[in-house]
Amino acid sequence: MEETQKKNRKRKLKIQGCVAMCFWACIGILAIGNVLVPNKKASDSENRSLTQRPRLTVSALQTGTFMQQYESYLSDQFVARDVWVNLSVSLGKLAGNRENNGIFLGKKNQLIEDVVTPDKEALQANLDAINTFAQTNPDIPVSMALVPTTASIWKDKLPALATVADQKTYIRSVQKKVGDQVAWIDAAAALEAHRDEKIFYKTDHHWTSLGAYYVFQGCGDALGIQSSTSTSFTPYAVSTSFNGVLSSESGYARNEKEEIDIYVPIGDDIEVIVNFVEEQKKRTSIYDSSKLETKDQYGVFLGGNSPLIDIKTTANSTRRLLVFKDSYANCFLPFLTPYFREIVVVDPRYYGGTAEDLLTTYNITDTLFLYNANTFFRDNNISGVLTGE
Amino acid sequence: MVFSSVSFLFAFLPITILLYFVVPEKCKNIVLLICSLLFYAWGEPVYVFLMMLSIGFNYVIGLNIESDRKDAQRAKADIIFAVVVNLSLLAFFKYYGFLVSNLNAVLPFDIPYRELDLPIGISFYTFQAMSYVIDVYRNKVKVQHSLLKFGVYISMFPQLIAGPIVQYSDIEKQLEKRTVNMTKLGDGVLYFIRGLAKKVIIANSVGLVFSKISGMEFISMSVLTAWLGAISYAFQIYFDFSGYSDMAIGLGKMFGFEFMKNFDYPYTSRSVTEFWRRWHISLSRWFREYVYIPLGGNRKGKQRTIINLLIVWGLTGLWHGANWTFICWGLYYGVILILERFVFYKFVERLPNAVRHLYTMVLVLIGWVFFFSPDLGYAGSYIGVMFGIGAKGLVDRQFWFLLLTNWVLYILAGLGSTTVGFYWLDRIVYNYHNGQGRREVACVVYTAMFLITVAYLISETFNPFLYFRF
Repeated sequence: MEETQKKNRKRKLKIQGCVAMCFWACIGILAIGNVLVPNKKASDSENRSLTQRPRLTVSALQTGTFMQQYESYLSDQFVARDVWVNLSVSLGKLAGNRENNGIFLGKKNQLIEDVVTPDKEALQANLDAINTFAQTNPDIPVSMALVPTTASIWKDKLPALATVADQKTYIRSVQKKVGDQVAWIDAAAALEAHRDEKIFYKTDHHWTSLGAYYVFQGCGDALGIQSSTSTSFTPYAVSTSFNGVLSSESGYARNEKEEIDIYVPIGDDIEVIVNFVEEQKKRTSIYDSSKLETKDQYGVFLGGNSPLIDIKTTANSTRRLLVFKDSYANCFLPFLTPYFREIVVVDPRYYGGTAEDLLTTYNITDTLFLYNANTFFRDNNISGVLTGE
Repeated sequence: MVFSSVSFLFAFLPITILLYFVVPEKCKNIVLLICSLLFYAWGEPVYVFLMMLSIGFNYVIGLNIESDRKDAQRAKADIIFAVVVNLSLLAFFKYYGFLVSNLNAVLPFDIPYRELDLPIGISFYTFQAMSYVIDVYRNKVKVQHSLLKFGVYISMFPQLIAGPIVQYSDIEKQLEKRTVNMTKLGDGVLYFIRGLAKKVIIANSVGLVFSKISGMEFISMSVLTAWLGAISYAFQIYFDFSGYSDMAIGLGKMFGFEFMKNFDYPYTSRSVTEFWRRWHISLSRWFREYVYIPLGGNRKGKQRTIINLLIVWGLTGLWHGANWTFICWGLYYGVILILERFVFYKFVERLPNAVRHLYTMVLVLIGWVFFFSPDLGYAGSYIGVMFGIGAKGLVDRQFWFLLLTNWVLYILAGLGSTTVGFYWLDRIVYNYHNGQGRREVACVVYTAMFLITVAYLISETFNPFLYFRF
């Protein structure tokens, strides 16, 4: 009896030795791998730049920032980082996880960003500023579209039992508060009517060009454009390999590839000159095909977000439109080029000037506010640009 | 530095172990001391000098007490001085802000103060140093003449920042002589991997659920969601802290030390008294040894026992943090323990086991609410919601969603906090029936566990140890 116990004990020790060898081997291989594999500047799959080796200074040592940065450097530059991240995301999925970083993994790999609840003070300030803007410039018609996001239109694609706040109620209350001086474009109704079509991307928080097209079709009255000319558009696929931001942020659906379409007006050829005012760059297209080679393929529309873009067109019109917008507008604006002689596009998140200046500089005749509900309810810059404070 | 970090796992640990095993016997303590100081300095580049000061001070006091041994008066003066200095350091760095802000609330004028950063681990190493000087005074241990060995005792990195609180008497002999070999290294690795997995895979994941629930507004929280939040926190703190203790024990073994176990499946307890015999054992033991018994313990009658218990539990609460929530948490347990001891112990004993488990867990969960709340108002509202006051109904979709998307995690956590989890793991690895160990299985299981831990660690940028605040 004692003999076997002794034997068992010995075997147990032997087993421990083996496990320990595996453990040290893993540590050794990974540690050496980390040293040998060259550092990367940025991660495509995570859509962010990676921490580089921090510089060693006395003050950085004293405050401990060196140590913190060193840890995030080691973690960011860890050998085969993507493989590790995929492993942990897959395991989480296997264990039933359906939410990561505020992003839901919905049915059929549909990624859905959680609904942003409005920040009451910032919202009130923005709405007051919009109302004041409309009142002080009575000759310039103001229209506004608040586009609901995927979570609101495609509620049924949320994972089972998941709940999100009621975005449509928030949008309706904004519509009520801006009053009659603002012509409301009912984006929610337009999208709801086509909810069975691909109006949002699967792996990105943006709407597709198709979604934008349906809202454009419904905005004729508000913008006063349907009567003058009625142009039709045809879609062209410019990419079939798009994997969006939601995928990068959550780690879900990294293998999903999507199509990006652009809509080109049929018939009259509209030429444009796009002037990126602050970057002091000019282009002859509202599309930037170089972005299709990068991770940020949605940037093909207007080349991404810029503080101030001035688009001059050859459209047979005398109207000049000022647009306050977020990135949702980027794929919407191409539909407007046949109707305005000039479109001035402001992204208040990045723009430092005031609306008053823009009105006089560009002889603006019309104004449009175009946002998706999530950015609008998070934004606290609109009032600043409008009031100049 | 924390154990669950890339810099520790893939740089500090392998280098330290390699050095430690390469150098001859008599240099091992030097290597351990230097590495421990570097380990501490990596997280506390300034306060490392405070710790060195504490080491020097307590070392000298030990020598003083020895030389004053013949003169009882002077020895007594030495020990009082030592205790006062140790407690003052702790009080200054940990409780000063709390004290002044409470005084300001009462006094008609304001005392200006600046909240200091808490030096990591100060509560742990101060208590260890006090156990040394007090035991030297009581003649329970011999004075340590080697500053090196005393420095190793206080600063030894495996137990430096989050325990277990090793008493000097437990480790006196090991400081002189200990076996360092491959077998212990292997045993230590198993402990370490299990502890790391507990922390990174379970504690951090339930921690995410907890922070989601605790970030909700009370009006949108249903009764069951509130309970799920408390349960998530209970799992988080247990796996965080016991995982840390397992890693500490494992690392200790690698360096030839044997630490006592700090947790003994506390959530399997059938009374609150039992819970505290199984939860943070080294802390309860310290308070028992150095506060409760010197106060007279239970030998001076019922009334005095009750007072002593309240003092000990008020201090235990305060030890956990400079906030009224912690003091309430401690006193809450003090009252329950007194009641269990004098009022309903006989009654509880007669209940069926399942009811006793339930009774214990409900009280423990309510206790955790005090512990995790930022202030007493929050704790009150949270407990209110748990019992339906101001809650959004009994149950809502949010609860079911959280449960549905995390059920595997809760099962794992449930198994891991009872003996069942470890029993299965052990039986997968060793077949006791025919005496065969399953070597390949063991290697695959533990390596997989480690690699999954690494994956979780790499994927998250943030992973605080809860017990760092103490």
